[in-house]
Order: sequence, then structure tokens, then C-alpha cells
Amino acid sequence: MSRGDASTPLRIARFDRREANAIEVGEELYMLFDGDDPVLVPARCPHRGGPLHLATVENGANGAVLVCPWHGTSLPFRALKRRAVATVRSGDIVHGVIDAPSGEAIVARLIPIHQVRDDVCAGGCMDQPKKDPPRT
Amino acid sequence: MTAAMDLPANQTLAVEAWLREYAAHDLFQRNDSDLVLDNPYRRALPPPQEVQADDAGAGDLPMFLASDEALFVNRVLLTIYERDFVLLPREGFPAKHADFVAYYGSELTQRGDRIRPHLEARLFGPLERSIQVSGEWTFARFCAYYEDFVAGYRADGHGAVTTRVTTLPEPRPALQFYLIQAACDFLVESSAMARNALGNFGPVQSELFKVIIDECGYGVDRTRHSTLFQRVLESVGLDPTPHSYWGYYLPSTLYTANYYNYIGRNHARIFRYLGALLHVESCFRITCRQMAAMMKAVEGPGATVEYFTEHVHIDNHHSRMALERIIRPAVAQYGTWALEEVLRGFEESRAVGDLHTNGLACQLEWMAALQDGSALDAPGERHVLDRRSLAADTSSNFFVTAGERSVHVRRGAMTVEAAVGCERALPEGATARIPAGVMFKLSSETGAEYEIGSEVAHEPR
Repeated sequence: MSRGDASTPLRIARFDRREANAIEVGEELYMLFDGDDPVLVPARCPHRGGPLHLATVENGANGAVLVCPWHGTSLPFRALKRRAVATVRSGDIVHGVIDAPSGEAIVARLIPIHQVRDDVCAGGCMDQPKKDPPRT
Repeated sequence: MTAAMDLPANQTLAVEAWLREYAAHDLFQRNDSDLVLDNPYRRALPPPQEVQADDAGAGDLPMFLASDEALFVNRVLLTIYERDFVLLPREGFPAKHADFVAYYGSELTQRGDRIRPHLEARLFGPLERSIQVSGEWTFARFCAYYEDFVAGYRADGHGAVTTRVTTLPEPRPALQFYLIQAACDFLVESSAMARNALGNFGPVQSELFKVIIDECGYGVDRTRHSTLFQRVLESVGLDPTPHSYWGYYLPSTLYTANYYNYIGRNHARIFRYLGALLHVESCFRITCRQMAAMMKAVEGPGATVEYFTEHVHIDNHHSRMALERIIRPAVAQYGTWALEEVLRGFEESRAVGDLHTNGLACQLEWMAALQDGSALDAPGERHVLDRRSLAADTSSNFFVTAGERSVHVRRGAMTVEAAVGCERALPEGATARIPAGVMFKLSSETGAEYEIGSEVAHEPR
């Protein structure tokens, strides 16, 4: 997930997962795939930058797969986890450590979620928050 | 009362039977007083049949801790854990020898070992499930997260509770209450930590031992941290021996002490323990400054504060040592898994600390309501849940109410007590409002009949 070099500051993003499901850092968007094993991952498709938060989740041979809405690129969830932001969740509070220039604002967002198939993500791959998001 | 333990029905029944058997031991019977001076072996456990399981709180830790069940389970578990510590009375050992033998004897060992895993699962399963670590953690990222936490902790101050102690109508009992809760851990300070002193794990072990040596005053008894805290207790008129106020500990206080024993006892949790150590040392240097100010505000400029000023100083070193000399080399040597465990321990300790603070704050507000009389304001409609009686010159166990309750005196006179030195007389016809989640007990010199009610419609003052 690192966007910068070794000198890029490490910044802390904090949000309540009942109120937000993504953070925006400059032009980058990170989305929270929630559920039993929630992870905070870049929402940009590594193929051509498509919006993965709008991806369809399907069953793959080795678990859930996200299908990018732009070119149909299939991205195994396991591979996405390897790009995940260093994150710790305690209760509903999520902290993530982001490589980001110090001048860039970190903003918690409530974004549209991708199409979830119940048989794939029982319990929800991305929970739908209930309130307006706070700003970090 | 173990319905919420996530066990098959037949196993739940077995655990309940084992708990009843454990709590029925002579050492754990209450003798109509919640004060047991200088006998660390006698620890009252309420009869399990009087403890109501609260399934509603099964997955919600704050809700669970505001219950009789939490008080009971935490008392039992700390009793089991502290059999690993050497506790000796100051005086009168011959008269307490039989208690000493029984406390450390094989009968309680076997019974305790049988129920301990079930109690740990009940108490710490929800905590473990509430925390989740993901993504690619490095030591640099952990440091960034840690520094952000410390900056936030300093900025927030976390002094609301110590300040509230000083602003109660009668601050002395509030101060005594605060110190009694602290005594649960401070009088056996570093004992849970020392569980990880043995074995062979190289430089990390040696660095950890330096922290333990500081806690123990370098072998000089008058500088041992627990000795310093004994002086604090004596200075405000409290007994300085471990667990004299066993009956007055809040569930959240017991839970906190149990947590550090839980992660220290099983050495598979050593890295988690190191994270918790870092959290505690980093916060304690800040809260001790506030505790010293609290002491001086209540007791005057000559208050006994050496325990607190010592920690303001030494925990600056300990937090740095924990991060740089213990965790950094441990992560370098044992890898990412160790770092994730460190982070988990840090977060668990943070969550436990928040629960502890919340427990103190709720009880202080309840004490304030008793002191200023607002707890006796005329209530509205009461729904009577139970009718009970107290014989003359007797008192109840401490209760923890899961919901708001009222106590209405139908006949005779009673006293409702929230803490040492914090009580209120309830004459015949009076009604006291008991907030949800607080501890209270009832006593009567005359004998009394009373009603426990709920859903009190109460107009704010």
C-alpha cells in the first residue's frame, strides 16, 4: 500500500466503522472490507485504476474475488489483503497507518458500496454505515 | 449463572457445579462484613445461586461488567490467579495458619485449575474478539501508531476521574474509594509482570527484568513500589494490607487485575504482554501526575505522594525501555507475528483501561448522588420486582445492578452504601434510585422490609 519512499511520513487515520467505510488521502481512496476479517485496502484497481468499491464480489476457486466494473479484472480477496493498510480495529474504532505526505488531509468517507452477493459475503463484505461520516 | 459461556448445555451444568463447589469453600464465605483486615486468604464470594446470569451482556463487555455475574466471576478468577503469589499477613499468623494452608492447598488448586479456563473464556473471549489486526505492520508503523496514541492521551488529559474525586461534595470518601480500587493491583505491584521473569529468552528477558527490579525497589523494602503505596493508604486512614477491601472492588477493577494475570500466566501471550506493558507504562506516567494532584487537592500540600511522583519519573524510563530495549529487539528477532501480538496487547490494555476508567466514573457519580441526596429525590412510578427483608444488624452482599433500580423501604430503617464512608440513611417510606451498573449494599440496624423496583420515572433536578 506504500505510495511514498522511505521519507514519506506515516500518518494515522481514525474512524468509526459505524459511520464511515473508507478514508480519502489526497486523491487516494481506501475502503474497508468489513465482516469477519475486515481489511482496509486501496480502492483503485491495479489494472487501470477502476473503482473497486463498486466491484462485484463473486465466488472464486480460492475464495471471494472482486470483479472490477471497468474491465472485469478479477482480483482475489487474498491478493488484496496483501496490499492492505496496517490496521487495528478495537470495537468499532479503526486505526490505519498510512504513508502520506503531511500536507494531505485524511478524511473519513461514506462511499457507495459494491454489489454484495449474500451467498459470497454472508454478514456483509462491506457494512453499510448508518450516519454521515466524521472528518478525521 | 454461566449461561453465557458459549458451552454445550451439559458442560455448562458441569462448570456451574464446579463454581458452586469452589465458592462454597469456607474461605470464601462472607461474615456480614466486607472488610477483612490483614487476611489475604479470606475472600468473600457471593453464593452463586444469588448471581443472575445476564445473557444480554454476553457479547457486550461494558454491559457484562455492570452485572452481579461479572462481580462473581472476576472475584473467583482473581482468587485463583493470586494463589501463584506469596501473600503473608503482617500479624497474627498462627491464628491464620489454617487459612494459609487451605488457600494454597491441593483441594483449591485442583478446583481452581478446573474452572479457570472457562472463566478466562467468559471474561476475555469478548475482549479478544473485539480487536482485529490486519495489513502489513512494521516496527516503524507501530511506532507511528504508538506516538499518535501518546500524543492523544496527553492532549486528552485523561484526568476527568481524578478531577471528579476532588469535586464530590465529600471528597475524602471519594479519594478513599479511588485508592481502594487502585490497591487491588498496587499492593501486589509487578507480581503479574514477574510471571514472565523466568525462563531463557536472552536480552529481552534481561531488559524486562530491569523494569521488574525498579518495581521492587532494588531489594530495598522502603523503596518498593507496593511499600510506597502502603504509605499512601495509611496517610488517608486506610488499611495497607492486600485485599482488606476485597468486598469493595468494582467488577471493572477486578477485571483489570485479572487481565494482566491472564496474559502473564500463559507464556504464549508473552508478546501480547509486552504490548500491554508499553501501554501501561506510557499512560501511568501521565495519570500518576494527575493522581498526585488529586491527593494534594484533597489532603493538602503535605499529602503523601511519593508513590505517584516516583512513577511520573521512572515510567518515563520504563516506557522508553519497553519500546526501544524490549519490543524493538523482540520484533527484530521474532518477526511480524510477534509485532502483531504486541499491537494486540497494546490495544487490549487500552480497552481494559477504558473499562476501568468508566467503572470508576460511574461509581463516583453514584457516590455524588448519595452524598448530595439527589439519589433520594422523589421517584415516579415504580414497578416492583421483588420484596425482601433484612434482619436487624445485618447487611446484604454488594450488588451490581444491570439496569436502573429503586429501593423502597416499606418498614423499618435501612442504610444504602456505595463505598467505604459513603452511605445514606433510608427511613421508612424512603426510596433510593440506584443507577445501572453501580455497586451498592444495604444494611439495617432495626430490621427492615423493602422493595426492589425498576423503571423509575425521575424528573431531573
